[in-house]
Amino acid sequence: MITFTIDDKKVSAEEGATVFEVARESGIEIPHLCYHTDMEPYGGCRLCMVEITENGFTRLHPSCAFPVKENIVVKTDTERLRKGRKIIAELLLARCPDVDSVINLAESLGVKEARFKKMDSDCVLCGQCVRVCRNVAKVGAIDFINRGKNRYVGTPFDLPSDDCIGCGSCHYVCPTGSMNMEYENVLRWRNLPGTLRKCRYMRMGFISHKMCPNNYQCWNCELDQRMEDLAKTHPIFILKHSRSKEKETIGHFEIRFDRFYHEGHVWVKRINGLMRLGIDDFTRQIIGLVDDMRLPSIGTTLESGDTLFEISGNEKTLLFYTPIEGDIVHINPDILDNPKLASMSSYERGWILTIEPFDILRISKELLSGRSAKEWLKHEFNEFHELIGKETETDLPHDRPIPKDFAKTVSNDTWKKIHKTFFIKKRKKKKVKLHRIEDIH
Amino acid sequence: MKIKNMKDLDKVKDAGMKSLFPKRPQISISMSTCGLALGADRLFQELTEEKEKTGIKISLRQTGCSGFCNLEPMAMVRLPGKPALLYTQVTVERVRRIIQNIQKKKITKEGLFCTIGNDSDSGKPDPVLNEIPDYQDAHPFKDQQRLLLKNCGIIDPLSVSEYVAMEGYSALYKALYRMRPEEVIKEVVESGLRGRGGAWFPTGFKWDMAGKSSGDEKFVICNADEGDPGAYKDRTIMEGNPFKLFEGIVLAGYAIGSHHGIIYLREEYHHTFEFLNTAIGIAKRYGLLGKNILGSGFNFALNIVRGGGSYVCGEETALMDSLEGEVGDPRLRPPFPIEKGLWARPTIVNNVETLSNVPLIIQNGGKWYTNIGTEKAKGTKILSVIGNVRHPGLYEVPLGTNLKQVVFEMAGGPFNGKSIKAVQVGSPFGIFIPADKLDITLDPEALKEMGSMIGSGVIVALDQDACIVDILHHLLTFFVEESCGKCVPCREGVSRMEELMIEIYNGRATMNDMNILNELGETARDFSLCALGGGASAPILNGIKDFEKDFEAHIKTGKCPRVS
Amino acid sequence: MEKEKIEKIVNKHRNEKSAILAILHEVQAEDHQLNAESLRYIALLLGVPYANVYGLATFYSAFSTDKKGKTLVRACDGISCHINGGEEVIEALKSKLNIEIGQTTWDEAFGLEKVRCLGLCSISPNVSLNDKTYSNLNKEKILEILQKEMGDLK
Repeated sequence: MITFTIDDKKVSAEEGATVFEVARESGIEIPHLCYHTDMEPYGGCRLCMVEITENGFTRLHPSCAFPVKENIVVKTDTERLRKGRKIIAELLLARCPDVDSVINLAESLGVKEARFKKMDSDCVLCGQCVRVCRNVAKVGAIDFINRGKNRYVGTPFDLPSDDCIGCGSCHYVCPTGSMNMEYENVLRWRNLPGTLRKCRYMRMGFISHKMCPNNYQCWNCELDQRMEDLAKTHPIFILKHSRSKEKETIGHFEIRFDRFYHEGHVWVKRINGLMRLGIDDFTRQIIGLVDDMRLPSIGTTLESGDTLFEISGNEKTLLFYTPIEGDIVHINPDILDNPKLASMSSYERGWILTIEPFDILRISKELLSGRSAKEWLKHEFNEFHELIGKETETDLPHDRPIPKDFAKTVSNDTWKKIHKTFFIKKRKKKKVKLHRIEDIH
Repeated sequence: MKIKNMKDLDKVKDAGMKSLFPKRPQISISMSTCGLALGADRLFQELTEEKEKTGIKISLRQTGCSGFCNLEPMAMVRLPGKPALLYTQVTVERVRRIIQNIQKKKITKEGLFCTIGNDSDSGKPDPVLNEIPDYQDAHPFKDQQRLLLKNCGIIDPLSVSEYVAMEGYSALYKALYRMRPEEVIKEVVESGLRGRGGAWFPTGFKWDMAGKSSGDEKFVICNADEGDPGAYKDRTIMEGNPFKLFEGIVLAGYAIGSHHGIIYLREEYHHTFEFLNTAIGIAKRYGLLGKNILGSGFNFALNIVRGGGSYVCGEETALMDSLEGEVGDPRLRPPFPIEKGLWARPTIVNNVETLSNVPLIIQNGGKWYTNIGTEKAKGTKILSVIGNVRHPGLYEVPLGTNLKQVVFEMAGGPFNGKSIKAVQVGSPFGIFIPADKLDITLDPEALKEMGSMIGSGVIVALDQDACIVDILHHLLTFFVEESCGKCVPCREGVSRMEELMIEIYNGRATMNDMNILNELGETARDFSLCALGGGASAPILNGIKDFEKDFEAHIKTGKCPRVS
Repeated sequence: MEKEKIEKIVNKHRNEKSAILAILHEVQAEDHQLNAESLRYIALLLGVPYANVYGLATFYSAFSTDKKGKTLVRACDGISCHINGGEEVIEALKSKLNIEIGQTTWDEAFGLEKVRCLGLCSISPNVSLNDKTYSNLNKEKILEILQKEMGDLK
């Protein structure tokens, strides 16, 4: 627990909490506009600035983004802050003179009128719609256009968006009510033939298949009601891609939730129409530093159960079989230059190859993700330590990564067992031809 | 050939000496962006054709710019056994005459600006050179301490051997073979080097923190965005002595444990981009970049990324976002780049000039560096003096040099008998200092106390005909156009300041509007997300205070003040 | 730009999102424009939202979604060029080409832009026509240069 002072009041909070959140819990409401409880802080409106004295130096910081630290002294309502907030509110009022929430915000800060030439915008550029569409709904149908005072939120070339899924989360988070994307798109969809009228919960990914039974009158729809009751917020926020769960450590293996996993310990990530894959943290820790690989050639067609690639490190090798069916279209050139990347950055720059799948919909059904992936990894973790305990004399610690030279120290027999138990469970009749890296160059 | 050990380095050094002091006459033309803009490429082409036509035995080569672009096109002529001769504002006819005189073994006097160095075996000096000053005594080169710009305009920037002959790469060799990374950091800390891009942050401290940060990958970013209007010192270093910069970057990588460097280059520097790519290719071939640098086993890859034309991307967190393929909106801090920078890895971002200082510091020691400058501000600073002065250009002087000396003595002061009205130090965020307060030292600590800053070293001199309101308005239009638009105080506040400034300029404002300008300025200063919004108001607010007459003239008449 | 060409450019940069600036530069250099089809296809190949790529194209000054002229006239408006007569040069360009800053002539031959700064501050005012830069300018000199450029194009 971290203790510090806000407005002469002593408070304590958990590490990772922000000053804004702790202030709120202590009954101090700091003015804000671009903050949302379920999203990462943006820090654009600058209303939530507070004076923080740390190690003798006093500076202004946005409270929505400042992580609590031991013994800091926070002041949320000084003369300087009040003056600044008034000017910011006045600027917003000049920008959006007819927007109720802006008028209310300004009044609450003591500003009745703006001394500047009035614009007629109804958007305060808080960025919440852009962030929820991009980071939560994972669609990105709208974004910031232009920069500086000409900046606005919109779609490419101001044309109706083909990417919008009509989830309405942009409208939900908008503080001024100016965001109309959902409404505009729904109007368009009402003109679509029946077979294309997908329910917005299908577009969001909650249901695999549902057509809209009424004329997109979601407020009349039982499903919509049920979803909102379940979520107690906009349903988009309970999708598995919420910000606090991008990755997790199970025991000492890291799992990332933005991709699928195959039981042979290969991760699969969708890059638009193609599937990129690489080795997961489990593999990385077991083999150690990869120094060589044998890879298939581009153009190879893969069927279920075919072998895919082989990696070597610490004098041991591991053979993997393909998680999906399709054609190999790309091999990571950085890996060819430097196979070590597969260990140094297994989830990012050390990806191995890209496959064009035959049937992309099957993949989400057959591979593990989210909670199921977590359960699976837990099971693998337990099985691994059990096996090591039985096969070798020593137990490996459960809370630290596997020692870097583990593969070297393990006997060939034990290695074979590890390989069979976790990586390649059945031998396939057809073995795909694998090439050494020097031959690929 | 790849340099793998000291013997190889010595071989390269010998080749460089032969190239710098050849046995046959040599003509070098400055071919940086400025030279090219003034016709140096045509000049070089004509020379090549002339050489082929006449078959005379001279060697032709290209050099970078010395920082005084208004003396371009420049030609340096070296006759064996004689000191090098520097010719300025050279034309094709003049060069033809020089060549003819070379064949007659005569020195051409027309256009001869100065000599460079004295050759020991020159024997009796040629009487033609009697009135010609030496480089070190000639305006505008004299009184400078050209540590960073030493070789710019003298060596062939694409010649590794010439750079090595002028002491290049001995620092990197020393570090890779005889020093541990912590020792490299220690020297930089001891030197007191601070960021030369405007932030003035202690470089050694930054490196120390980054070195201690844990991570599987770390990055060194060289900030070559050079967005400050008026600044071109980085371009001069990059086009005049790129290997010095590369050496500094590799040293930084070695110090903090990074194997990957990126140069983020300004979009507007088209020629520099091609040039640096060529230089990187050459460095790789010599084993100075890539795998097994200088045979030491240390690997470091360097590549260049061009910006998209945005001043705010010179801010380090916006730069990192731009490198990640996003728009250049500055990030919130904490977390700081040394912990979570590019791709959330520990990253250091340093300016070109800062990194170019590092080889010197490692070569001579941090302690040696502390002998230059003032108590708190060590080393030299390249100042870009522009505006109403006789000799605009790059002046490299020790920190703490007197501003009056720089503007009036070194840069020649105003021309046509006019008087200086104001000098802005640290453009575009620096304040305009009135003429009667110019007797100050260019020490960043002293400048900070008077509300000014050294910035990237741009010094703008305005004479009596300049109107401060016009200049301040021009500055504001720059900030408004380059603002990213993320935070309210800058996007709304600074643009409203610009609107007010237009009203003031056209005589449609009142004294009350000046108060509003003040309020907006203070809010932008304290509440903005980054230094663009935070620094935009300083010159405006100070300008209102110190140049009342100009503002009064505009408020009352809508016109610039007449010189009485 | 044809899809195959775009694919080649994106593949050259290994389909990495971080290389998007370089990719957009290449397409802009050849087409003088980043139009909807190109942006959409680039977004598809890199696996990023189309709106995001469009946002990038509108944020950075080097890119334009409208067609820039075949000869892009960039007049420097930095503080040194401004002090030394840059305004006069810009006005001369505006009136000779008969367009405002940011516009293109009706025949798409010339586009006019302000830029800050070209890094040639001691030989200001400066103007660049595509990759060729001219310095130490004034009204007469820039009109002469422009005249020659227009004549060369005929």
